[in-house]
Amino acid sequence: MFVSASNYAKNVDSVMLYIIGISVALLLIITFAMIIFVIRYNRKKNPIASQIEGNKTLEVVWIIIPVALVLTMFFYSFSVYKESRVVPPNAMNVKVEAKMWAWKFYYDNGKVTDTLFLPAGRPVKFNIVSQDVNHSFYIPAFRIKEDAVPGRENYMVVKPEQIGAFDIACAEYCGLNHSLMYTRVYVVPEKEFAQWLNGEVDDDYLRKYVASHSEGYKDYLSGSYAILFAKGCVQCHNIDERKGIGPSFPELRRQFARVNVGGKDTTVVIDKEYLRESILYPETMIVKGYEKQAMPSMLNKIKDEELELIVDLLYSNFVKNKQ
Amino acid sequence: MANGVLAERLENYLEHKTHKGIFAWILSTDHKRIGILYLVSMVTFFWVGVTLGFLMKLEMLTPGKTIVDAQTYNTFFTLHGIIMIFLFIIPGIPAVFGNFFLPIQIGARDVAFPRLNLLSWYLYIIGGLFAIASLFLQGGPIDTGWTFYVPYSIRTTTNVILPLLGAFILGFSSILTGLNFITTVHRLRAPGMTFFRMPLFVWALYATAWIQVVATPVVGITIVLVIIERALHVGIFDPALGGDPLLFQHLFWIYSHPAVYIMILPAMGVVSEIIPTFARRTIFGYKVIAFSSLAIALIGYFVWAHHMFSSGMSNTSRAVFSLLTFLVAVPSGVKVFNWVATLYKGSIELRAPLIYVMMFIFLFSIGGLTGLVLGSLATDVHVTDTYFVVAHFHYVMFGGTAIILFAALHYWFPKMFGKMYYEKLAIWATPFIFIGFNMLYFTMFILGYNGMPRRYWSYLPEYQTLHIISTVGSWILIAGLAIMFGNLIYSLFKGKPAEANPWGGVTLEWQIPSPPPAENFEEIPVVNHGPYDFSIINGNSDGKS
Repeated sequence: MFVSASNYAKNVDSVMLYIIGISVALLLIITFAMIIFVIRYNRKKNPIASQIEGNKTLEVVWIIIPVALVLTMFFYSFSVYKESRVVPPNAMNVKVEAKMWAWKFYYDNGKVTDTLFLPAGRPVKFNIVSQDVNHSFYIPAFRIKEDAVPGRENYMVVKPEQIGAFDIACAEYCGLNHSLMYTRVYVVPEKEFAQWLNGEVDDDYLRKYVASHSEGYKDYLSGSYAILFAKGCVQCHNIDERKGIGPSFPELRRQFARVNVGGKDTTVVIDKEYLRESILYPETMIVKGYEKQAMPSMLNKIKDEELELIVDLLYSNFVKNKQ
Repeated sequence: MANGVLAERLENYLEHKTHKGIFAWILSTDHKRIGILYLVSMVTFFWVGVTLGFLMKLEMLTPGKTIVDAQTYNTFFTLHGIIMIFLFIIPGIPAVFGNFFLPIQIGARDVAFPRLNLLSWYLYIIGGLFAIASLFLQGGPIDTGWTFYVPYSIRTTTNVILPLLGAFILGFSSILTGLNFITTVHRLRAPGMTFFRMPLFVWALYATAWIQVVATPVVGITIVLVIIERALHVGIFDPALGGDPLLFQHLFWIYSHPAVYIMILPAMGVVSEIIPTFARRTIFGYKVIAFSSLAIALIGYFVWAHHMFSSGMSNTSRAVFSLLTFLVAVPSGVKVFNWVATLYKGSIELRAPLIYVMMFIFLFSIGGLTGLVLGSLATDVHVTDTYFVVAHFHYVMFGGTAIILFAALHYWFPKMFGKMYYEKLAIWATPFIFIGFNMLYFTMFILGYNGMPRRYWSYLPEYQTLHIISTVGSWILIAGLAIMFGNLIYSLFKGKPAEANPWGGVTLEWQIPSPPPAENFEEIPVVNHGPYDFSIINGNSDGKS
């Protein structure tokens, strides 16, 4: 709840607290005054009303005070917001390309990724474009978003500060799979990031780095999961224990799965054959509790060697690795 | 009992039939019957919208699929929005209570153009049928969201043109009603009914009517442009055809932001009627409230781009629109202070309409104050297009306008139908509505600040607890609504006959029998005092002279 991963995010939270603080005070004054008046001036206690038509001083006061209050809110908020619009000279450029329903990130040296990797402590200017309809590039932990609009390039500036993995969502409605258009940003130290950018280490190295230097995500330390990201498995199946749209990978450690085969419940042993079948023909055996949303078949969508790689990975890292 | 004698002599509008059977309704040019026509059709559309909302919340019970797939969910929120906004909230209070009470409150026998008034209702029904017809057609119902954002609305394969035409036709209904009301206020006021003796409900309707007339054509033209672009591939908004998507957003919000005031101003007018009546005292700051309606209508034109802070506008526009948005909050706040001050040293009778008004003041204040979070740039770019916004506009539109529509239904029910509703049942419905409402929508503020985007069919599992609370809230709320409407419908048949002036109100509608005579007034009244002059009544006698 309320994860914040940069100074900017903390500043936005302060603006929020300022506005909400004043608002709660006003709400309480209004509500209590209303309730007290209704009780105090009940017809039984006060059978004759006083006909008060107004009070100039009071009315001027309660116009001026709100104007003053909202002006302070405006200036405070604007001064914080500027940070996300002013591009510092040392900013790194990343091009963000949205299309139905995935993200792509382009680095200046030609590197292209599906998940975003950023160095901690350095401002980044995102140049945001769309291939088709409107999307919105939203990183809740950084408290910021900017629309990806076809035909134009929008920008926003972020300075990540905390090592960790954070969600990236699409916030502008873009059709069927709008709600599944998630990816992640991994924030790593500048040194590791430079190594990665130069091709000295791979994506997986950075994910493991994040796993070992931040909360959660510990499962990542036991294997190389790059392919699960490349093939989109992690959109529905989590590497940690969190429940997703499909069962999480650590659930494979149970050795047996309760599945629904042709309308009947049965228990199967989780072996390599089961994993292979479940990837190519997911509808034949659906894990109990996940009947609602069938997984799309991967038949003809992945190569044989990729299938074997995934099966081996899941088998050795989850089924056989009981931790 | 002058009124009783009057009632015996004059046929009331329900007895007075110009045609047989249903035609007495659908061919009537009586503003009161047209008001009832709107009421029945609107309540029907409202329950369609509620059903869609109920199904959407049920789908949100679990991440992934609960009852429907993503495509169906996307059409649900689109139709929920179109129905609730274009068929319920926008016509809402003006079409029902404006039609019924505007002529009576200014001492007129009807609106200025009675036939045009009936035409508006037909346009409303035709537009409504167009809007929901896509449900039954090949290609499936529209899935663009009620905002119809281009390019998606140009590219989706669902039925977009039909609902757009529906919205276009509804626009005409709205413009014609606006014209009718402006003319009525200018031309048909009774002798002595100066502008500053008009009830504040009339002031609110008058300000609203101007927005309807001036802003609605913009959305009409925009809709036609989208239809042309979709049907003929003329590049206007879609960059693939050489157009500009931001142009659409600007044009859309130039109407749709003032439309928010079309929705809320009449409700504010109703509040300014109910509070004086139940507090038995004159309103605090009559002129300030009247002028703040006009101020809101005017400044409301210049804040539309606050819906677009993350769309890629220049930094200067972002700053200017943020500043103006903060300023438009002030007149609404002033109204709230005035209403609460009107309760001070009143002689307050706590009946169902006043309870709804108190609920309104609380919920609308939350809606308005969270609007400050959305006007502020730093916080808006975090919460825009999330559940925070969904919560905010439901607090304003539902907690504001719809709750006051319910208040108005109770307040004017005896006058409109000549029957009393059951007070105890009416009061019993309120805690269900209040608790259900807050469970349903307050959770959305928290979800939104935590980064849950709106229009999501599925969501990350960490949001589930709040979604469950919200869904359960929707059930409680619907139970409350069922009790409330059930009570009113039952009272329609079994309620005790209502007196001419059950609340002791002083505006003109309370000086004629319940239900009102077909021609409203036997003799057009001469007005010689302000609308909330309680000093002249003692008991239940003449506010007219």
